[in-house]
Amino acid sequence: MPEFFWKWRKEIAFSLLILISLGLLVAQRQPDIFTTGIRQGVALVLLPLQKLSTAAIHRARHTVSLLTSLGTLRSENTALKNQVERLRLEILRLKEGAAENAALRQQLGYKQKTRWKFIPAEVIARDPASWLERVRVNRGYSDGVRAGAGVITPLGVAGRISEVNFYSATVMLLPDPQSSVAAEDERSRVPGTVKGNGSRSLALLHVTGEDDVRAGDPVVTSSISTIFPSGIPVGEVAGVAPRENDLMLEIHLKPRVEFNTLDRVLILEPEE
Amino acid sequence: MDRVWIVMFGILAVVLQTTLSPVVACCGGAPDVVFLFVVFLALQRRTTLGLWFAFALGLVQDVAGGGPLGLNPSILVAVAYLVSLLRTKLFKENYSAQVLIVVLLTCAQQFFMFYWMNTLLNTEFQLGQWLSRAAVMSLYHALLGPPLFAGLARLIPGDDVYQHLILGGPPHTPRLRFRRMG
Repeated sequence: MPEFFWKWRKEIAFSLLILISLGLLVAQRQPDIFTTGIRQGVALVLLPLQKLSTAAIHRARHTVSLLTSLGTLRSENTALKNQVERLRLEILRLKEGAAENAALRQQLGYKQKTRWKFIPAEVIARDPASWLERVRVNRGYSDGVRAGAGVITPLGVAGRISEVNFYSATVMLLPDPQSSVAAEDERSRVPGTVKGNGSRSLALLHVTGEDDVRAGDPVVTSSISTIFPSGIPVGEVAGVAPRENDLMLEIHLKPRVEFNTLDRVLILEPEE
Repeated sequence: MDRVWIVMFGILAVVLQTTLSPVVACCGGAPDVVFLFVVFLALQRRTTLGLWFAFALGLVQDVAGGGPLGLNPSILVAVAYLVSLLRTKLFKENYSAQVLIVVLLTCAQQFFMFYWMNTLLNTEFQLGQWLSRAAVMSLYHALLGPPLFAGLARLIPGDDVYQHLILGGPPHTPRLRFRRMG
């Protein structure tokens, strides 16, 4: 018997490890204490190392960009000061509009819209060799992040939280093949579902051939979305074509967010 | 002592893969340092050590990159097993042969990934996506692989003629990790 194990040790180890891997993959569907424990433990050990490495890389990139932009700093500073002034005025105008909107909604007896709070987070890791589009951020349970929360950037929707650990969380980005977001064409209000396909373009699904969607239309989050406020930019229609043997349209979107260089995000949480 | 090196390099590979590798990513691909390390270990050691480390590193890579647990272990174990099966036939002394080995293994790894994703995770990746990813990553690995192997071989000695061929020194005595039982 021991001879048998010795002779086939490699094959036995291979079969055993493949079976364990498959077991873990299947167990993902209903995370249990074992798989959660592995994740929490490994994440806890890796987090400081990833933070350290990311900080060093950021610093190096910052230094390089500082050195290359020395000549343009003065003009950039003036332009930014002007932009701050413009944005201050814009904030005042928007605050006034929001107050008026709230008062009118109250008078008309509309349900008050959900208020959102933002948890700023920094991207600390991503695996570019993976076929899945996911990143890890430095905020977790301890910061009030929960699984399923929406994630945005100042440019638009970035994705959603797919998994949370104590001090970190995983964001499933929009281009991830398992990601989907309820959205609508901002111009014609045609609803659909934005789905990732693993590449840098997105698809807008569930739009029929009779719907009015044109190239160049902005696509924003829909009011039926429960994880995003309505009207957050998602992307722009890059191309529309009828599907073969189908009543639906094939719509490609160009995302607003540049996912390759994503380094800071905001996690959305509805206010109590 | 060299097991300590292996563990340290393994963790370093995962950290670099998830923090530095995105910086050099382009054309939809990036080098996979963990994969290269697993190939190196499987080439260096004839025991089952390569398989166990492939599994452990895959697991750590899944957590570090936020992927589903079990995806990378299954693929890295398959790659390590493939290497261990062909290892004696694969061993070639010149640089271009090493490049060829790394390129073929990268294509195989990417194909396993493509097949696994579509079968187990219900994704709809196209064959073209596999081809483009495999091409970009093969290029990265062909450039990085052989010099990385040569560097690592100085710290983690192999148990056969590979060591001699890479470093030009005398061949090491084979080290058996398990004693024959019975």
